[in-house]
Amino acid sequence: MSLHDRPTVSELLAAVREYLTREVAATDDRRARFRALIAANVLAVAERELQRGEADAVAEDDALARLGYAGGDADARRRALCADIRAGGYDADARFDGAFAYARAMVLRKLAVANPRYDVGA
Amino acid sequence: MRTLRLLAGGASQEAWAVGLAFDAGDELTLVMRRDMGGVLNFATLSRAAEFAVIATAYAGGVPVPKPYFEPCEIAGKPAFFMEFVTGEAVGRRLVTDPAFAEARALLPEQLAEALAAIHRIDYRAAGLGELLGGPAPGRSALSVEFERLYAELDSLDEAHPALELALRWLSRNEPPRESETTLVHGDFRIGNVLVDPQRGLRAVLDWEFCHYGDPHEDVAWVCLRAWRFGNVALEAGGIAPRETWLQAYERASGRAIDRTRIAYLEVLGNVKWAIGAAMQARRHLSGLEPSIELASLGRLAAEMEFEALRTLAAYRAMERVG
Repeated sequence: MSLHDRPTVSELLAAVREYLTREVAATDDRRARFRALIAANVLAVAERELQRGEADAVAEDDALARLGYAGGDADARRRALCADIRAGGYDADARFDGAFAYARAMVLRKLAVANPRYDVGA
Repeated sequence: MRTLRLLAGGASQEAWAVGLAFDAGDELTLVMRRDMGGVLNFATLSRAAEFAVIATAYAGGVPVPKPYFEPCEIAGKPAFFMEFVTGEAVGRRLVTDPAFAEARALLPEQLAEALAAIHRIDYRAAGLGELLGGPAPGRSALSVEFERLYAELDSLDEAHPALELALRWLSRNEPPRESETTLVHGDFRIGNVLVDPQRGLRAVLDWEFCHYGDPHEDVAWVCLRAWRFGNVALEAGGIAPRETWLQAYERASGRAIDRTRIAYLEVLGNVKWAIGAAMQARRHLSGLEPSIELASLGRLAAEMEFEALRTLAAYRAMERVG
């Protein structure tokens, strides 16, 4: 448990999100309604990131290590991978496929937070 | 002047509806587009250039708002005036609302004719050659595009392995040089056109990404999943199957469309809009244009990253089959 009292951070976000969809979005002003719904959606993204953050970080860590980027800050390792891709280090088919599989899994992790309803096919 | 109403506003530019009444009793509503001074994007047109492009398109028979007067300065900021055209622009409504069923049946042909008319414009003769960006002599449109996209990607200061991979693959698999160079709208799609429920297409909007290059670019852009507004199975803008669109454009333009090139440009288009969405979020993050809509685009980029990888894999699979 956090040192802070309830509502928890997730519960606070959910409360604001519900206020936005139930009260603020209940207006005839098309633009105001649109923005309220976007704001509610942004809070839902934040809620999902809080929920999944730790598990996703572990999965990222493993995936980067499997690709040969082990140890240290995950963002620095992702940047190293990006630099290697740009320098041609993944041009060979087998190398390309490996980096592709990582990139796809990473994007799926981002999508699960950003928009879980996005249809990614089989 | 009788009425003045803000249609859209931001740090980069704003649009006003201006109601005018003349002594003879005539009334006229115009749209004023005006710069706000915030320079936020790579490769966008100035107001004066945008006016010149719209005026040329209007003269060329493209459905665009009729331009009025000359580009000028309003309260010290570059601005221009054009006709106020009524119609629906919201993509989701155009693609799903039963009220637009008739319009959806008309749109593939109408969009194809409008795009063919844009591509027929002799931009050099119209004096647009110097105003617009395009590949320098001896360089392909694509090589110029890659350079710009890498610069934008670097400006994000964020690791995007999917986009790096796609850009690397695109630059190593560049198709043969485009056979012709035409005016390219640069953002031609559902969402950037005004549509009447019965009569269909009324006007093509948002010319600020206009440049010259490969006409295939506009034809492919229409097919991006992001512009299907949820109606994913209808690959051309959520309103028609891909082949219906490609054939409509071929009939309207008399130009043969290379399907492989379209598939390649679809990968590129997804990379472009992924980077574009991330760049839009920077307009919010920079503090120059605080906006919940712009902020949300930063997380939308993942959808285009996914689609870039999906279309890239589809292209490679297609090549393996031969």
